[in-house]
Amino acid sequence: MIQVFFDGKEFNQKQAPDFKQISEEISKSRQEILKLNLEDIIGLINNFSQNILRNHETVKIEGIAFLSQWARKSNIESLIEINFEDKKILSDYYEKNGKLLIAQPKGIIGHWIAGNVVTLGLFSLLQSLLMKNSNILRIPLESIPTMVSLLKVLRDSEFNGIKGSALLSSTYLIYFTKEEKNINDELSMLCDARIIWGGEEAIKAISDSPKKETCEDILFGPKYSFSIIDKDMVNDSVSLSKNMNRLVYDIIFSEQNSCTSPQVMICECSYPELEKVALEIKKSFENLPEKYKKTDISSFQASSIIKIRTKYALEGKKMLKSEGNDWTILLDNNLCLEEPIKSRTIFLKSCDDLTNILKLITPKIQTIGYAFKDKNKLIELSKKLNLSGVSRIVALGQMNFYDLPWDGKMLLARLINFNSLKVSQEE
Amino acid sequence: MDKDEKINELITKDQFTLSAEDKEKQLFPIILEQLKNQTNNNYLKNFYESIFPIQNIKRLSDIPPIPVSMFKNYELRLCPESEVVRVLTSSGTTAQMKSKIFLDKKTAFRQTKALMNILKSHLGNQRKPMVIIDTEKVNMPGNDSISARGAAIRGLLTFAQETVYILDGTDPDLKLNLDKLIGFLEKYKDQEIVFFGFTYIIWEFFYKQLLSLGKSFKLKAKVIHSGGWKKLESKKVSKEIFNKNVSEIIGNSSEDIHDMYGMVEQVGVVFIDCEHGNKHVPNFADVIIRDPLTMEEVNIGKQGIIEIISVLPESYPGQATITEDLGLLMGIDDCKCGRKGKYFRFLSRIKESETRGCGDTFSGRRE
Repeated sequence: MIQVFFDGKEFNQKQAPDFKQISEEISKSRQEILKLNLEDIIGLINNFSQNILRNHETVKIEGIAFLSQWARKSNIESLIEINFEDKKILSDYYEKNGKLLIAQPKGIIGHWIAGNVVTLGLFSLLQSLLMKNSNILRIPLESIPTMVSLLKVLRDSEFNGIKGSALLSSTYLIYFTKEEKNINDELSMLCDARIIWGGEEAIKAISDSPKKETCEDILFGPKYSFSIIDKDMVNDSVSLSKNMNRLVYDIIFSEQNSCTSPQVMICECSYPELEKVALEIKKSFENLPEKYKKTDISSFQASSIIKIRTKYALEGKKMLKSEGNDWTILLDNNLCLEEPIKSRTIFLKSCDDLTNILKLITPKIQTIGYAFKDKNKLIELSKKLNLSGVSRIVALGQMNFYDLPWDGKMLLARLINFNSLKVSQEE
Repeated sequence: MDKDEKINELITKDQFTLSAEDKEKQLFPIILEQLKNQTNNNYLKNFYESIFPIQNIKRLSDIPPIPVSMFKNYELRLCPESEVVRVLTSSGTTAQMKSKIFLDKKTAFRQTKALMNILKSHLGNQRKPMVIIDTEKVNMPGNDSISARGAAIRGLLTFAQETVYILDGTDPDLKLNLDKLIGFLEKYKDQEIVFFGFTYIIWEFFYKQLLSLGKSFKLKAKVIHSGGWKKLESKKVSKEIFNKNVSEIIGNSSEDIHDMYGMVEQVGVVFIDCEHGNKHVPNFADVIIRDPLTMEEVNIGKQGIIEIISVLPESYPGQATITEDLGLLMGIDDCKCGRKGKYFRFLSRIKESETRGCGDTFSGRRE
């Protein structure tokens, strides 16, 4: 049974046996979003970006400040610019090499949203709305309350006398269990594009389900991220302190459940010097403002932390840790990428030369967060890292900032069809 | 009294008589002495120095527990190799590696004696005719190593007047030998019988086979089962369903079906449900239910990770082991059954959260 939490109009929870009625409703209501012009949509999203910080419910959501910043007009316009040569193509014919090109919405976009970042669904949805698509979002149950409160703010946003409800008129928020394969298949068959965010198992299960021949898949699958710091930065105590504080903010976001979360930090220094870096990280963990203190942990996560701490202790490896299972810093000089423990656990590794990390790179590396004094060295190394498949290289503190391209993809351009008209000069 | 004499007294006297406060007073000095002896092992020396130095330990809950999974990865032996009389191994059904627990004569003796005394509290002083719902092969080690299933059966055998194994075949094709069972029950028709087996095996190869044969009994009997609920959970068989259905087949009361919680890393310390469904801790051991975030002991009514404290082992570091199980602290010193000390309930194995995302795992993803 499909649990519907938002049907384009109401937030009353109801059930639907299949997608027949949902599909019919979308066909009818779709005209509303098609009538909106790009500037109005950008304006509505911009208004939403301000309102979520004023709303007493949404302002408490983890990552809301970043979502607000991301949804601002200036950022949305820069996202459009990076995807399209001229945004005119999104509204009207645009002449290029003797052809008239126009970007048209794909149609119905199915979003399979992972549960690791509660605001993830919004990033996916807003880009799809920007391209005037209809949307069905399958959201994990634990993210539903967050998504509902955010969509309520979007529905009530206004720009130029236009209400956000027009923007959301053909958007559905639903849930069904992963065991309900028939429902999943039905949704899949309805989509003109499928955006799938998730782990290996989820990506495989959903991408294997039947789809239209014309359906485009946009997969954001399992990825791994880590950080690096060059020797000049290690030796500059002021910069080191500042950067380790930034690293800690990258670590605490989503309790390291994101593909952008640093799990390992590789330092260009000797093994004894690692302790200096570890102490800075410890200081930052201890000085976190009260609102960022860990208040909960799953037993599984706690058990993983206890085990890795014991392993390091038995082997006589260095470690800094909180009293309970709050944070853990594990030190060694074995240059490798470790299986994530998450929940504020960072592996700290020393290496003589950061170019040695090239051998660790696979196409599964999403983000590398850096702290470099020598920017030329950074650019040289980055060229090789990008060539090896690293999607993003950003300064520490920005690892979890959602941006385009993401996983090497320009999402907006994937959510439209480039259609054309060639006007014949002959009579 | 020296340490060994104190331990011996704790094991041999009547169990479940110490209040939580008295237990702390009696166990702490013994365990502290045992911990100091462990630092001859380099792994453990490192461990205590790094996690919580022994000189700072002021109470039982200060002792840094060793996760049971570490016995899979490290050879944590505290006696000379020549003194090892038996190596216990975990079942290893869900993990590729098995725990290896090294027993010397002293530890093995204590464990046997301790188990006997716990069972006495639940089964009475007399040895009883015992039906083992398993195959005899499980208790026939090829060498000095023995599985957890075999070790549990072996532990109970010391309490048996006579024993019969009622399953034939080899895992997973076990078959009930009904004639053998009926013959044994006939022989001891006037006595109380004790049935023992692993929970899943009792359900699958005893209860279901008797059910399909349309056979049931009317017995004066107690059933003790262990091994956990993992396999039955997937079949939607709860403890209540298990107790009801098995007792209907045997013809006793569901109060006579006792779940026994224990592990190969803590042989000798088993927790059997009392008539009020609570698990009690014997005098020579303790349980600490820890809050997953703070690692502090939880208050009554709260759940957490189960840790077991024991004075029994000296050939391996089992003084404080933290399990991968969740428990609920039910109370202290005041269970209606009259047993003293802390009492708790086993809730489940610790499971991985289903909230997974794009930052899942690294292994298996390298191309």
